[in-house]
Amino acid sequence: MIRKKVAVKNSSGIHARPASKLVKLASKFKSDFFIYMYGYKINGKSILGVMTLAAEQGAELELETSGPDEKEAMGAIEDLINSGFDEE
Amino acid sequence: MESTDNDIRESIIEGLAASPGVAIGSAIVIQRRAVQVKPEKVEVRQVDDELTAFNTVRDGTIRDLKSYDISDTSRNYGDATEILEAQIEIVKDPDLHRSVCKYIEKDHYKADYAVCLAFDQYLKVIEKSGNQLLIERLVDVRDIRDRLIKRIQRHRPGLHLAGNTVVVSEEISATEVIEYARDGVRAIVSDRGGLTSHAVIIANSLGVPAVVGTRSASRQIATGDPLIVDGKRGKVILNPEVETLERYKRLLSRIRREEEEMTRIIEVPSKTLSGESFRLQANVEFAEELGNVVRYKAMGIGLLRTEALLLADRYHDGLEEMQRQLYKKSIDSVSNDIVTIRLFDIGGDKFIEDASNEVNPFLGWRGVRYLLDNKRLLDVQLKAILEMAGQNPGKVRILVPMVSTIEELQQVSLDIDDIQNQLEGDGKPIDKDVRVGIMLEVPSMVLLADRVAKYVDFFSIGTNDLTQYTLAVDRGNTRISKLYQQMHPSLWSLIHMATEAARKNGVGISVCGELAGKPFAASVLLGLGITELSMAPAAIPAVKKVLVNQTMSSMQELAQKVLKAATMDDITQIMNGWEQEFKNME
Repeated sequence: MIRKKVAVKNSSGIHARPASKLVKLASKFKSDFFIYMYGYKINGKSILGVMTLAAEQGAELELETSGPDEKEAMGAIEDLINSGFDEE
Repeated sequence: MESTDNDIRESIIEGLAASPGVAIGSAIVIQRRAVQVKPEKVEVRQVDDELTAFNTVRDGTIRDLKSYDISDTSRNYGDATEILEAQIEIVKDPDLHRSVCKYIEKDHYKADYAVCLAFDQYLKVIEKSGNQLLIERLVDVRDIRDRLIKRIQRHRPGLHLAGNTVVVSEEISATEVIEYARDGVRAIVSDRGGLTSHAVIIANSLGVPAVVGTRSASRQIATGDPLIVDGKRGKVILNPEVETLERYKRLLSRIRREEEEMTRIIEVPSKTLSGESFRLQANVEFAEELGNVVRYKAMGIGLLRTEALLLADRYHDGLEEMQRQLYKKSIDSVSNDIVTIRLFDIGGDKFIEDASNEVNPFLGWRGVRYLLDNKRLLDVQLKAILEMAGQNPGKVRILVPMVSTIEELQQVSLDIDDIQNQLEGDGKPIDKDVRVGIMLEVPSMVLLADRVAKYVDFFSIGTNDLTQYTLAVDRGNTRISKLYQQMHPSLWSLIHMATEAARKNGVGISVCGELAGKPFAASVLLGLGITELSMAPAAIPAVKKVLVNQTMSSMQELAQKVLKAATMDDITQIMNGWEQEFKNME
């Protein structure tokens, strides 16, 4: 299991389009993926779950991946979030 | 919706003749109206059925969404894709799935109410969040929820589709046609839709009469209204009068007699009256059509279109597996015969994700051109095909689409050699003699046919596109569509040229365009020397009937007459003469 902290960079936060990208990416990996935010834990492969986070710019997220490809999963997901979901 | 006295008069609704056949029944109108769910529960023993209903609808919805052609909404192309992708993710959402199943399994709620409850949880939280961008998207979330609920409500067998039902709707998807056909619907009528849509192709393939493009049928007709659907003439007759009803009942029994005759024809050997053999094969696109391949006893699949696989899986996950399944099923459906697999023919009117709205898509980046610029995709497909060929030697042929130069073919052949070597190196079985051929659809290749023949094992004439390129007509352009004539003298001339080249070089030749499925044209093709024709499975009986009842010499005479024609009028005259003779024979 790997845990990493990231901050949401996009000015619009994680709205529908980034949520969709995130979930699609995470679903490619075998490992489980969870997101913790301010005490909430949601399944990072569930788009509805990610949308309920309604994470705004600056929100601190703790990412957790666990499974056979946890390293690759964490790397890819972290990159996506840090790159602002290629939005700006 | 009540009908007033005024509405009880017979009225005719015109549309496009999408799929032939007659249906006499009562309408079920499927409206886009607000969805209604009731908090109903089921007995313990029905819980499994509800789960199955939910899962089936979920899978079908994912497939449908993935195959949506959004090139129509090209104004907001980027936004449309974004919404669609998010909707696909929502339907696939694992937590949503878990939640719905829990409501069904633990609380015994009906599937549609379970979906409603599951979505509600998320909708409430997102609404409270105050995040405007997300709240804007709730429209799409609710759209998906409603879509799932509606499909579940329609899914219940017997509820809607007892007796002679005709489905009338604004729009009908290919998947819905398949579902309705399975439920025993007698015909399909829609406001929208064009003749080349997938829904129409499937309706034809499954033999379900259909009239599309009526513009307002779903608003003129009410559920329960009696109607007659005449698929061949593109007519829907609402509240038919007694005389009309009688007329169509007679027509229906005549059609049934013809169908019995066709069933008999299928069993007869595929030989002309003078004893020469011919092969009638099937054009197939979806696995659902394979049932008809068996039913009409097609002697092989002359054209297996594969691009639907790409449209169903835009991001190429699982493309290898989907291919393998389709190829395996196709090979199994023709027992000892051959399946000719056409490489992905995308571009033109078929949506591809990086199409940058070409000015002339038919003259653009499609077919083998697209594939050669996307080697990875080409190789993924070739590998799947060659593996299948290795496991089923002699049963698989490869067909390359839209070849316009010999060099393109050579490049594909090199790739094939490479992949065969790779497979051998990996210890996998290969078919050393796997046959490779090209679609003859671009005139350049027809004109060079005698020189191209050295490089191919077979030709397959794609008369649909060959007609467009030769007569410079875009079939979809309504202003000039009258010029799209598949039997124009120029086409026969080209077909003759290709056939001679094939014969001189000992190369196989067949026709897989729509032309092959027309009885008169099929007779001419045989007369020109082409004995392998591939068509929609349902077209096989009518073609077989005329071919077994003519001698080769009479068909050759027919072909010679056709080759002397100079205008469409000449051709029409010859055809009318032939049809008369045929009627006299019966």
